[in-house]
Amino acid sequence: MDFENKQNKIEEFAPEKKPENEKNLEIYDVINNGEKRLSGASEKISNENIQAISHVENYPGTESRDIENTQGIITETNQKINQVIENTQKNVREIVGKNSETNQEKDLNQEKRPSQDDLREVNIIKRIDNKFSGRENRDEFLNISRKITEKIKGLPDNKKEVYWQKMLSLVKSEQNNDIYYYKELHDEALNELKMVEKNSSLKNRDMAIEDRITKCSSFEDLDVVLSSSEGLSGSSNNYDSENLKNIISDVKNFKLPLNALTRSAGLRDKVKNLLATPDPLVTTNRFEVTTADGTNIWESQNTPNPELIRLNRGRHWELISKSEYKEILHKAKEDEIGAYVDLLDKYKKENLGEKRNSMINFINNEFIFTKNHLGEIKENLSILYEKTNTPIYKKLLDYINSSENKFDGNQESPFLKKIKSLKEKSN
Amino acid sequence: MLQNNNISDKNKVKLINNIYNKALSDINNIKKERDDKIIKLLKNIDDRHIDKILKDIKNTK
Repeated sequence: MDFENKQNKIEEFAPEKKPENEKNLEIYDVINNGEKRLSGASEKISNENIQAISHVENYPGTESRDIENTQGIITETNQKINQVIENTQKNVREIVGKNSETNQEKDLNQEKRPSQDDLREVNIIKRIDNKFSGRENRDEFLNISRKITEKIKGLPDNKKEVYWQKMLSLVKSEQNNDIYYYKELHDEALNELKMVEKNSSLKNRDMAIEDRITKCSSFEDLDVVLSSSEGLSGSSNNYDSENLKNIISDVKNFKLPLNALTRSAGLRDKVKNLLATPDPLVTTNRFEVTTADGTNIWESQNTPNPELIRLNRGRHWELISKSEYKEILHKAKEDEIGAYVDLLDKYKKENLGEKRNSMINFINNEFIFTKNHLGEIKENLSILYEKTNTPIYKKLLDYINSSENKFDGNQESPFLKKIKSLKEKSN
Repeated sequence: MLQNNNISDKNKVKLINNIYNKALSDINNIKKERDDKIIKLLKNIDDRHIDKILKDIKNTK
């Protein structure tokens, strides 16, 4: 809603009300004066709105989303102002008594009340009729203007505002009297409408196909679903079904990366899930991973793409990149270490504090988790276990033996870090 | 609901004036709110624009 509409409402409200007797004259003067002030304020804001949109449009670095945001701000502003005007007029009516006297009549009028878009249309057409009055091509201007306003009314609410503003500025402009500008605006609104309709139908189409894609459990199923579809609309391109099938075939054979596929309708995720299914012809590696929850068996498989790996962490298979795999292993190692630290805490609870402290001292001083020190550490752990028969030493010994190849000779061990922090806490 | 039957014409004038004054004050607040939002938006555009320029300069170097 903009000034045109507000103006309409104001005009509709004030001038028709004539005083029934002289005593009411002052009241209606106050109303007329108030309406004029409201009208002036809303016209000023309406003009500023047009300037604001134009300012943002021409601002360096502006992107289309910024213009959309501005239109959103302007629409919200107009709606709020309209609400203020409506509430004000309602309150004034209540005071002058109209509301209570003609409730029934008002309810009927409200039912027949034209929509906000109708009011805008009527107002704009009225202005054009005045502006081109007596001119040769008046009918042509009127005709094309009716077509434009009709198209604008067909647009969704968030698109309408900018076109109402353009139409209003065209009507107000003294220069743009050429029919060319009107025709241009008409074509623009028509194209926008077509785009909105197209997007809406594509969205519906994609939503329908998404459900079917979700249910696919094999590449064959996916092929059937895509063959019977008209394609998908991506963020920047539209894909027909043949196009999609070709891309999927290349992604399936690891010739193309996964991101070559559109995310629309959950297609990329579905293909990723299907690619994660283990290949019976490829060797599956199995290994133990200890976490706070216990020891689990993990499985992994290489893929034709050296950057991608299939991994099953005891729940389901997933397709991940090598870098993700490294992160997961690192996290698993941290968890594994955490599990042993928990074990140390358990010893504390079992009142074996002395052993635990000597263990921490030993780890802190000697137990540097690098390949250079592993032999020494293992020897010490063996001696400790033999002497004290404490399971933690055996556990740590087993852990080092099973994970020896994971240790980096040059980096500080995360285990040492954990132990240090534990020590700090125990201080 | 206001009981208009119990309000004198003098009070009605006062009340109506108050209503319009309140409406103008509300409109003014809405205007300020709009201006703040537009300023914030322009600031965001500026920040983004500067970031992009700096990135471009780094890449050029």
